Amino acid sequence: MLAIPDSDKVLYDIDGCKDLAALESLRVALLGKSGSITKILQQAGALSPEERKKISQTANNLKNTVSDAIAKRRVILKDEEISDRLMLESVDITLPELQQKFGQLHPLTKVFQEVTDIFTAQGFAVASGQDLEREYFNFTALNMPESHPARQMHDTFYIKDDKRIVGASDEKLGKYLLRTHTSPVQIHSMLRWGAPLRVLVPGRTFRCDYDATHSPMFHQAEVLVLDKGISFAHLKGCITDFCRKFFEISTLPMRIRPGYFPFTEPSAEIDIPYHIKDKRIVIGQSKTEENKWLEIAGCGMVHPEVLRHGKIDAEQYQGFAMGWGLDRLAILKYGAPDIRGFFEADVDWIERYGFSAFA
Amino acid sequence: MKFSLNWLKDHLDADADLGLIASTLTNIGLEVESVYNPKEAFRSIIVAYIESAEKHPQADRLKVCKVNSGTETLQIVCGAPNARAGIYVALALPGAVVPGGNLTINKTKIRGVESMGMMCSARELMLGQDHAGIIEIDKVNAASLGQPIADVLGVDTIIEVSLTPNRADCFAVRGIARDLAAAGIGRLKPLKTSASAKGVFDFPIKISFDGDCMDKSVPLIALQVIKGVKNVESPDWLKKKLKSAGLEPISALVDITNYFCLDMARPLHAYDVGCIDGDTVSIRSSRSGEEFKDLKGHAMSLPKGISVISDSAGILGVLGVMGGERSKVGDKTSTIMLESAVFDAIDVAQAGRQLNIISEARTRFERGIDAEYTLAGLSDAANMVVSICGGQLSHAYVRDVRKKTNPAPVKLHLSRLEQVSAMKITADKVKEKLTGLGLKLVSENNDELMFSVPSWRHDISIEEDLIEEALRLVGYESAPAAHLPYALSNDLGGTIAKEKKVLNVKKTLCACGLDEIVTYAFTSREQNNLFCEKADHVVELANPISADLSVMRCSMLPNLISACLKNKNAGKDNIALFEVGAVYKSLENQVLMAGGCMLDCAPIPHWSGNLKRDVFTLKSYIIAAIKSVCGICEDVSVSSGAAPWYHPGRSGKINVGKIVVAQFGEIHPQTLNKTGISGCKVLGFETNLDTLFTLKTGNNDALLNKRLQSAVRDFAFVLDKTVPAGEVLGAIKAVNPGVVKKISVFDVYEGDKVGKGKKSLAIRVNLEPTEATFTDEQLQNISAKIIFEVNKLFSGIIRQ
Repeated sequence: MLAIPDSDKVLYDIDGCKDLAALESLRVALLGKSGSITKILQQAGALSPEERKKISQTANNLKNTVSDAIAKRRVILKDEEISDRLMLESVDITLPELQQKFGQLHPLTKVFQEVTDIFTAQGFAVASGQDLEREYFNFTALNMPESHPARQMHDTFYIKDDKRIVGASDEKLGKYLLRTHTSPVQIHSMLRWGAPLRVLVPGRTFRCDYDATHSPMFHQAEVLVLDKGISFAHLKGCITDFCRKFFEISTLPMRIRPGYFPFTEPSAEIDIPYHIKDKRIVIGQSKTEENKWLEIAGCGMVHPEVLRHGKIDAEQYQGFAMGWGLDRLAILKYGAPDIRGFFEADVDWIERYGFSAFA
Repeated sequence: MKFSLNWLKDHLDADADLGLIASTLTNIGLEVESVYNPKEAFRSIIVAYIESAEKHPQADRLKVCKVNSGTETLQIVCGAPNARAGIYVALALPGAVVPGGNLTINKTKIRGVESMGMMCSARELMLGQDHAGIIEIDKVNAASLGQPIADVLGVDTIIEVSLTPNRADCFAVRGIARDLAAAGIGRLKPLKTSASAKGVFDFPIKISFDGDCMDKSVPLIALQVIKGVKNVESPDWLKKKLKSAGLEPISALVDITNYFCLDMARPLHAYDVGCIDGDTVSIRSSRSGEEFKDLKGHAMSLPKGISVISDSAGILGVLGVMGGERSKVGDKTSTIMLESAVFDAIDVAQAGRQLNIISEARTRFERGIDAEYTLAGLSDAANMVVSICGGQLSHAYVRDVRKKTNPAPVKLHLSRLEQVSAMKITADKVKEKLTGLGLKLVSENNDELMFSVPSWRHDISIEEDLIEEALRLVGYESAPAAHLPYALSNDLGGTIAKEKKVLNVKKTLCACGLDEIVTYAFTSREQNNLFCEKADHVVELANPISADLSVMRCSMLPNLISACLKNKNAGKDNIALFEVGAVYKSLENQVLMAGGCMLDCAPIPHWSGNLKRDVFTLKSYIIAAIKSVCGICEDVSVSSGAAPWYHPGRSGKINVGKIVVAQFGEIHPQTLNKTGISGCKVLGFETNLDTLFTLKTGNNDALLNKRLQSAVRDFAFVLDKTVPAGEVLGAIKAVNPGVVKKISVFDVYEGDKVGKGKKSLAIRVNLEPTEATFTDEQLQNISAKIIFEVNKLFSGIIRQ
């Protein structure tokens, strides 16, 4: 009589295998060439047909059961082995990474980009001009002749007289200076491109004035439009559109009142409403706080004298110009306390008021 | 310009309320800076009567008063020595805010005694300096009890406007009234000119004019002597007006001249004739170095060519700017000479600027005054002097050399007005508004209106001036608004594209970890010269704010390095900054640059090994920035020979083709010494964006080809140590143009195995066929060519 191993005992042993090697030796002991189950099947040939049939059937069933059980156990043991290896390979993922920080863009870059986007979408070109200007372009051509009182109010930086520089003493162009506003680029643009013209002039400007609200260098953006049939209504519309778009308040009201600039007439100043919240200026009207007006831009219809210097036919073309303080726009929209921090290159300030390059 | 509402109403017949007046002023261009409304400021401060005052039981200096407020009797504790029964006082009730000190009044207990308010001193109400005791109100009776103090004391409402430089006429209260009337607020009252002040004796002083050149500076001067005056205290109405304008009353003679200056923009000067030396007064040009002490006591030495009035002892006053201390009127003054004149605006402006004197007279003369009110103004003032100070008038001395040219009338076309304003303004409306300003309609011809301009408006000479006046008075707010008509985007000169490139460079440098800064375009000469190749072309300011900001930078580096230093001193580490801006190589050569700086101080410890920053880190950043602009930039190469402020062995130039676009490297230690940085290496770069932006942008052609099997070949060459790797790589690339896609150096070895003065470069070359997959033979040929070229050009030996 052949002894058929007890199936429960065999299955118990399979489940008890702790690793793949143990499982393999058990498999060999059961199903290998001289494994106990294999042997039974080999020896069954010597039995009577009835017995052989009975034994073979039982042994084959057992063989299938055991094979399945071993296969299942193998999968489990393999998973465990990988898990164990991965556990050994694991790192402290909370350790600080190597990737260095991204730098930040200066808020002026951000504001400059926003202003440029708004105007280029309306068909404006961009011109930058030169920081070193001549009296003629900075003043005379803008209807501020030598004796004009406004000329004195500009606190102009002049360049030290230098005889080595050819042309420095050119009578008509006058002395070299640092431009006090971006308006001279109006004249350069007219002379270069003529009318019709839509141009935005962002750039550095300089005045020798230094205190909490003034910096000897600051930034302006000049807007000039020349075309047939341009009126004061377009000036009003263009400014309203800009303010609403820039401050992202679609109903932002605006106050326009007469002002004075020698190079525009009629001239106007633009105010927008603001209120104070948590000690900071917030643009827009508040229902709960006191609303006040804040001067935001100067503008006007281009003065005929300026058109004359720009060689524009004033009978055919009219136009308007406006000037924005870019630093001021940045302060108002993004809340830096004053202009001085803009040029101090303090990394903490940049961290606080700068922008992600990809924002 | 500051004035009281009452003063304004001397000239303006209006019952408009304060709010409407203030908003109209702003709307017509006379921007209201502030309004002081006493009704608002003195809310809950009323007239009250002290019925009794007893000593405080707990404090010797305090009194417990029973005070009648008109409706009830209140107990008030008061410390004023003059608090006593029987006087009318200013009582601040609970809830009132006392303006001087911004104190809110509450019911309170003072030393155990309840107090229901506070009686105020003049200083507490900001009505004067007196703080010794409480205000005692005279000339009131029981009927006034409980009335607001502002009404009873007649405290002025004060308006301050900010004037634009073109509006000389509004430096007069009358001018402001005229503008308001023209805008529809009330009616301008006719001017009360007194009868011409008749003299009773001859003008007693000889006036000498020093040459005809004074005709231009002093086209009109009128003088009148008044003798036997008493320089008394000014009457209340006059003191009150000056106070409302922010001027302290001094004496009647001074106050009268100031009054005309503010009321009519008619500057006057009164000289004490008793202090004039000799019997002749000269109007002349100053000589260089003449001494002058102005009436505020500031002594100065005059330059040549300033218009002055003088006697035999020296200068009495700078004409149109300020009188002198010597002939200043005082208590003892008995004879004065009153001066009313027209001085040349530019002359006065220049004199004032040269002497650094700001005065009410200068402000008006330099903007232009109403010449037609010169004589009448003198006469009005002289009459007022006599009526307040007594005295006798001399005949007037008048010298008038003005060129008698009537200003040309100015045309206004209604069609033009409509074109500019985009609204229809009728002829009647225009006439009404402009004549309200004192313009006179000379002629009218359908579309064309012709106006003459009054003597007080120097700012109207062309049609646009009239358009502005009409539009201003109709109101900018009522003008329509319209969007700009659509226009195609128009990139004149390619500047929009340029701005996009600038932004790409900035974004790339941010991604490399550099923070963007913006610094002044000027710097100190010393720092600037460290980074200038042509120091004699440096652009220098004539009037810098300070020596530290005296020249225009010729490099981005000085400001970047000092920014690094500042942040380092503030304890920051890992400092890496960049700036995009202009440098000024000479007056006519402004260049757009991107510059950057990184500090390499102690290695930055990190658990995975210390972080290192060196020229190669920097180089990768610059090349990334360059590629952000010109795309794939096939032929970027690096060569040595950067500017002398870089470390000669650790710096280089970056070229695209043959064009140098950037320089970078460690800053030379000797240069660095002079910038104040120690203990750190500084890595810096500058790239010329103007040049970079002229380069053609490239695309990667490889993607256009069919993808074919590529191949990789590694080589190790033994070369002289001095052979630049960049040149070897360039040569390998040139051997098989189009096929070599990428070359990298994966090892550099110097040491015993290759011999002294030698190095081994391990180079990996990625090859990509253009037509068909490489055959073995082709690959062998390519390798052989590479080995041959490196040997031929650099004597490189392939390492076995």
